[in-house]
Amino acid sequence: MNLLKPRLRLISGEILEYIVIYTVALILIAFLLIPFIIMIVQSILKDPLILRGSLTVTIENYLNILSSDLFRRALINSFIVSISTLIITTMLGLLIAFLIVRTDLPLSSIIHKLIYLPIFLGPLLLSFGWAEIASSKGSIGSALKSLGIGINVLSIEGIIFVTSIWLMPYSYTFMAAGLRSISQELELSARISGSNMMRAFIAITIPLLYPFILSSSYLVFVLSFEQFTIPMVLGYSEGIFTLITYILLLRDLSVPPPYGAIAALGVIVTSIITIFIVINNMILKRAYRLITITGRGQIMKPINLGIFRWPLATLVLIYIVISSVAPIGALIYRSLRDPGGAFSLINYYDLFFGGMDIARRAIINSVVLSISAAALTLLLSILIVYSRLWGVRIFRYLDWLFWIPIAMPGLILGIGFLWGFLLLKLWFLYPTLLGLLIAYTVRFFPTGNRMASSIITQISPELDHQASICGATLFTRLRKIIMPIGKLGYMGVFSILVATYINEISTSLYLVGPGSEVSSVIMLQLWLHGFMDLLFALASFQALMVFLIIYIILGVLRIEPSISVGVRV
Amino acid sequence: MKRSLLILITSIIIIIAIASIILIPYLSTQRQAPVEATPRTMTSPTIARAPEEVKQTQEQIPEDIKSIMKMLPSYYPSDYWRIIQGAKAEGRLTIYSNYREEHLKRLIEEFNKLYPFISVTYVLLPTQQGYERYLSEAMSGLRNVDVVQIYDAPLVYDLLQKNLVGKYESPEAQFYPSEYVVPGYVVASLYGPYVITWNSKLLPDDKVPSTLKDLVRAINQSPDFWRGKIAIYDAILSTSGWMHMYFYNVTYPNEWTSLLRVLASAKPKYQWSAGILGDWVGKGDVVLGWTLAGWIVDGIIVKRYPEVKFKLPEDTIINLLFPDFFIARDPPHPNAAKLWIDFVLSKRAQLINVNEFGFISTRKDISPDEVKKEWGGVKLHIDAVKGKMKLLTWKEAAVDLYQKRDYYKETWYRIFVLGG
Repeated sequence: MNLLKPRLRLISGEILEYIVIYTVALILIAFLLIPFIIMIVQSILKDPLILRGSLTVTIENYLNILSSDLFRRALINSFIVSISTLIITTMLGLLIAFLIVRTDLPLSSIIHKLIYLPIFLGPLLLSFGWAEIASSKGSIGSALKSLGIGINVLSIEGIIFVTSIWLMPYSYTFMAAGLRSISQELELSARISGSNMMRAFIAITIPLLYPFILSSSYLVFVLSFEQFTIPMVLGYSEGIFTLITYILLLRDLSVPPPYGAIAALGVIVTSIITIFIVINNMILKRAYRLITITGRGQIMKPINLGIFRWPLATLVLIYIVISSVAPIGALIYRSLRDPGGAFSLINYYDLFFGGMDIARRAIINSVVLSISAAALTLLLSILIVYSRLWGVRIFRYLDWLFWIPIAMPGLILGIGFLWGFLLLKLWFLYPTLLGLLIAYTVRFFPTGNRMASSIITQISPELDHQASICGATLFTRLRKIIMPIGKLGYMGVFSILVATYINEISTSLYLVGPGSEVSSVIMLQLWLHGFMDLLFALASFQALMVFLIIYIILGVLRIEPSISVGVRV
Repeated sequence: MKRSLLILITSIIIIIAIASIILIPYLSTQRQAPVEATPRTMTSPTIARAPEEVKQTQEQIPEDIKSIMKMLPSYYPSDYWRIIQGAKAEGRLTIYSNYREEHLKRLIEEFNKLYPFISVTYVLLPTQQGYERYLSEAMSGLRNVDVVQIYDAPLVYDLLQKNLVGKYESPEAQFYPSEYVVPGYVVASLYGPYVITWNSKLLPDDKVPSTLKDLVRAINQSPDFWRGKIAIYDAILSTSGWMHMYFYNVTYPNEWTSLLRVLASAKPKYQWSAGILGDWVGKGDVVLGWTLAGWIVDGIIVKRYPEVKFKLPEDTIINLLFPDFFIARDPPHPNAAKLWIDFVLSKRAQLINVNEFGFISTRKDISPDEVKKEWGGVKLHIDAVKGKMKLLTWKEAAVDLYQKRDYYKETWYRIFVLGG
C-alpha cells in the first residue's frame, strides 16, 4: 500500500461523484456536530433553548450538579460498576481465551462461537432475563430460594454481574487475538532457562499482552460507563443510580425538567469518557512498542490439560449457560405461560392479534429500522473509508469528529438530537423513523467505519489501480472491485450492525413518537409499568430475530464474528 | 448459489426497507395535504357565524351527517354538523394519553361507532413524559398532536399558564360542577380512588386493616410479621406517593407523621408504579399494598392474580383528581379534536370510565343507578363516597397542592428513606 500511494487524479466523469461524496460528508459532519454543540450551548444557558427562553449565560447548571449529593453518589456508583466490570471481564476473558487458544480444551470451536451470544442478546434482554430468574415468583428463583440461595440482581452487584457477562465477549476477543499473536518462543526460552509454566506466563506473556489488555479495558470501561439499560432495569427502582440513569431521575424530579442541568451532566459524562480515551491512547502508543509479531512462522503447541480437560470444559459451558442460555431461556419459558402458569401461546396471541397495536407496529419498525440503518452505516462507511484511501481530503478532518459518538453516551446523544431537531424545526426528522435512522447511523458510525476499514485495507490495491488506469471512476471501482471482493466480510459487518441496532435503546428512547415506536423502547415501558407477560413475549420474539441473524452469520455465511476490529480506536 | 441467493434476498429487503422509510412519511403527508387545506378555511369561523347563515346552509347537511346528528343529544348547537363535516374531511386524530391501552382503545372503539370515518392514532406516555414531550413539541411549534391527556392536574395547570392549551367551549362542559371546570379549556372529570390491596393466600381477609390507624395497631402488635411485607408508593418519583402524604395530613392533622413513622418502622418496599406494586402483592413478595391505584388493581392485577383482593379504605379514600383530555394548541385536525373532547366528556364515555375502568366521574347527571361498579359494597358514585373522601376541587388539585409538593416529598423522604 505504501509503495503504491494512490493520488487524487480526476478522471472525467468523476467530478459528479466527488460532488456526491462531499455532500454526503458535509451532511454527516452536520449531524455529528448538532447534538454535541447543542449540548454544550444548553449547559451554559439558564433557560431551556427549546422552550425559547432567554439566552442568559450562567455556570449555575454545573455548580448545581457538582454540588448535589445525588451526583456524587451516582458518580461513585458509575465508577464502581465500570471498574468492577473491567476487572471481572479482563480476568474472565483472559482465562477463557487462554483455555481456548493455548490448551487442548475439548469442544473449543463450539465454545468459541457460543461465547459471543451475550453481545447479540444485548443488555436489555440479559437484564430482563436475569431479573426474571432471580425473582421469587419464577420457578428457578423459587427453586434456588428453597435451596437457601437467594439471588438479588436488583442491586449494584446485580448491575456489575449483568454488565460483566454482557461485556466479557469483547474482552475475550482481544485476549484471544493477543494470545494468538504472541510467539510462544519467548515463553519456551524462559522455560528452558528454568522457570515453570505459571511463572513464564506471568512474567512473559502477560506483559506482552498489555496492548491488548489496554484496548479491551478501554472498550469495556467506555461501554459500561455509558451503559443505560442495565442500571435502568436493575437499579432505578431500588434507588441505585449511575450517572446515566441520574439524567432520567433529574427529568423525573421536577417540572419542567431542568434542561440546563441535564445538559451539564451530559457534558460532564462526555468529558470523563474523553479524558479516559486520551489517557488510554497515550499509554497505548507506548505499549505498542512491545509488539512481537515477526515474519517468521510460529510454533503453536497446545498445552496438555490432562485430567482437567473435561472438568474445565464443563466449567466454561456452565459459564455460557449463565451468561446467555439461562436468561434467554427464562424469558422464553415465562412467555409461554398464561397468567395461571399453564403452557399456552396466549401472550404471543395478545402481542400480535390482541390489543397491543403499538407492540406490533414497534416490531415492524424495529426490523425495518435496524436493517436500513445497518445498510446505511455500512454503505457510508465503505464510501468514506475508500475515498479517504484515495485521498479525498475532507475525510481526514472527519476522523477526529468520530470521538463525538464514542464519547457521548447514547442517551445524551439522543437528547441532543431531540433538541436539535426541535430547535431547527426539522419536522421530517422528529418524530419519524428517518430521524431515528440518522441518530442510529451517527451513533454507530465509528463502529461501522472501523469494521469496513479493516476489510478494505485487506484488499490488495493492485486491482484497484489497474482499474483506475483503465479509466474506471471512483464509483465504478467501488461497485465492481471493492464491493464484490469484500462482500462476505460486509455481510458479517452488516449482521453485527443489525443485531446492534435491534437492541439499541438509549438513543431512541427520546426520539420515538407516534408511529415510530421501536420494540426495545416499548419493552422498557412495559417493564416500568409491570406488564410482564407481554414484555416476555416481545423480548422472546426479539431474541428470535437476533438468533436468525446469528444463524445467518455463523451457519450460512460461516463468518467469524470479528467484533474487535470494529471498536478499536 | 446459496450465498448469492441470500445476498440477493438481503439486498431486496434493504431496498424495500429504505424505500419504505423514505416513502412512508411522504405518502402520509400527501394524504394529509388536501385535508389540512380544507378545514382551516371552513372551521374556525363556523361557531361564530350568524344564525341566518346557518339556516341558509341547513338544507345542505349531507345525509350521513344528518343521521349522526340525530344520535347526538339535543343540547348540541344546531351548526354542530359543520364540525362533523370538517372532521370527516380531516379523517384523522392523534392522541397523547396516559390511560392504559385497553382503556383508551375502548374509548376509541365507542368513538368510532359514532364517527367511523376518523382513524385514531395514539401514543401512550407516562404522565411526566407526556407533559415534557407535549411541552417541548408545542413550544418549538411542531403540530403533531390533536388532543392530550395528562393525569397530573398541576402539570395541566402549568400548560394553561404557558398558553399551550387549545380553547374550545364544549357543549358537555355545562354538566360538570363549576369547581371542576376551567371554562373553555379543561374539565377535571374523574376521581381515581386508591384501594387497599392484599394477597388473600398470605393474609386472611379479617386481618386486613381498613384504616391507617388499624394498620399501625397491627404493626405495633406483630412487627415481625409486617417487616418488609407492605408495599407503598415512592413519593419522590410518583405523584401518587406524595398525594398520600397530603391526605393523611388532612385526615389526621396532629398525628400523621407519627403514624407514618410506625409504618416506616415496618420497612415497607416502595416503587412508583401500581403495576409493579400490585405484581409484588400477587407474587407474594409483599402481603399488603397500602392503597394502590384502584383502576390498575381492578383492571390488571386482580385478573392476573385471582388471589389478590382489594377494598376501599374506611378512614379516608385517597384519590387523585384527573383532568380529562384537552385540545392541543394549534392542532393539525381541529374538528376531529373537538368531536373527541365532546365525546370523552359525554355521559356515554364517562359511564365507560366508571363502569368498566374503576373511576368516579364528577359529571352531575350520572345517577347512582347507572353506576354498576362496586368496590367492597361502595358504589363508585360521587354521592356514595362523599362522606369518606375529601373531594378536591380543580383549584386545590392544580394550584394549592402543587405548592406543598416539595414539603410532602421531603417529609416522605425523611420518614421512609432516612428513617427519622
